[in-house]
Amino acid sequence: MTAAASVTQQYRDLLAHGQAGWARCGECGRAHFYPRQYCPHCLSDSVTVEPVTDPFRVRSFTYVYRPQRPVAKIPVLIIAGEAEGTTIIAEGLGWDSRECRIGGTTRLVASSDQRNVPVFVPADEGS
Amino acid sequence: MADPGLREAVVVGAFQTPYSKRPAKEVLDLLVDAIAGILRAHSIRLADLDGLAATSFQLAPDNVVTLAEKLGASPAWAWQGALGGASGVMSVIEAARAISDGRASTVVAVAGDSFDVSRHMQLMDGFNTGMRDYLAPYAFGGTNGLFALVEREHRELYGTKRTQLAKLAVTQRANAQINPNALLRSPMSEEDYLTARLIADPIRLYDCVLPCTGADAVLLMSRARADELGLPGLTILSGKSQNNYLPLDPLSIRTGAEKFASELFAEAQVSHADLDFVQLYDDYPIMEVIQLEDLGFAKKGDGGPFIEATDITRQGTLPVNTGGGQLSCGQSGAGGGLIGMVEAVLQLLGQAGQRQLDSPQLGLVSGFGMVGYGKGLSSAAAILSREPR
Repeated sequence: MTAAASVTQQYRDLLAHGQAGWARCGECGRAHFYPRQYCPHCLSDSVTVEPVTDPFRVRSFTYVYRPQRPVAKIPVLIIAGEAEGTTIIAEGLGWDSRECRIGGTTRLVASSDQRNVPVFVPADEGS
Repeated sequence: MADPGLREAVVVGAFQTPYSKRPAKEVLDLLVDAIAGILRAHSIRLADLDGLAATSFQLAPDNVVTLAEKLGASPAWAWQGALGGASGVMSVIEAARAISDGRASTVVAVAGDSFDVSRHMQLMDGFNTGMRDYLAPYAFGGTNGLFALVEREHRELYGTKRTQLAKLAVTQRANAQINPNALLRSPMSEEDYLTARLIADPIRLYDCVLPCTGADAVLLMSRARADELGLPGLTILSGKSQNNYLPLDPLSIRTGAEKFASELFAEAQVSHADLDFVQLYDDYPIMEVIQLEDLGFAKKGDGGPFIEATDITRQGTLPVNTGGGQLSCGQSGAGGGLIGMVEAVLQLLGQAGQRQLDSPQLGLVSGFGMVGYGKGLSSAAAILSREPR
């Protein structure tokens, strides 16, 4: 197995265990997303995937009314969230009664559905 | 002096196949149509074509060499675009460089796709591994969703207004109304633009291009050969590209043009005010605003007010996308990366028909594309001149 498969596999395994992850470099200490086998900041190969615990700042968002395939519910909320200078794009779930606004706080968690993807939830929701 | 690496080449012609809303034929045949069309229009024999550059999202399992096989050409120099919407501009720059280096004397750069809306959306989910693995699992709306994130951030940071974006879309539609190859020619008002149905908030229908079928082509030659044939030729004064600018930031409110703009203008020895038009890559009006900023027409964040204060019509101080651009002509896949170059060439050669500007001498063309994990990764731009300078 290559190193590339290894960080990607760590990322997927973590999601399968109910946690959203991102990559962190063991040398320079910086986070990045999506996970790469070599740190894209310093080219170190000591990259591992760790659970994301930081709160994210909503950097931008959109309500998608024309998704690229049929979905159960329109619109689909897509959020670009930023933490430690790293931006992740993911679906927003659980925002029905909340206002999604730029500068607001969100957390990245594993989706509880079968997709096994990270999703942004309001900061005081999820576990 | 212009970039010496480009000086020995001239652009002598441009061509488009008819655009259509539905795929009419295999993409290889469509590209052959465009190449044959431009060679026949200039009475160039197939045997004299010794360079070929091709870009198409649907080209696989074919490639530029099997395209040459289908055409029956034997090019010494061949180049295939992999920079998405920046490939068209880059293919012309690379062709000019190959000619100036003596590697070819007659080159066609072609780009196109046999697209409609559903084929375009299918492409998006598997466009590259970053998008496939980390975006496609969401119903993120394809590029509309991604550029909605960009537009919202630009508006939040700089106060860019929808009315400023409307001016681009509405002006381009007026240009398209006298472009016989534009697919969208019905009148559009600011109100139409502002109230069109939501696609991915704040992106509405007329922020989006119509994926369509078509191919664009540009013919280049060595200056000596063009002189021999008595063909007037345009000089590429400078050409630049930048890929994956600001790595790891998935939102493109800044593009690679920001990095190369000063060199682009310095090498061409022209100022922004010298330009008679600009053909901007217009996958979305917000990207035109961002490119105007990054190319140095306005400082970062002032693109919106710049549009508001500038007459961008064909009679104005800075005509923008004089043929209607992708927003009103349709986006023929990779052909969208060459449509601005085609329009620039037609304008500078005085072949733009009813939409011809009054003797333009200098123009800028930009390209932008290859959306990866979030943003468009590639930027390119060239400055073209009617005179060698």
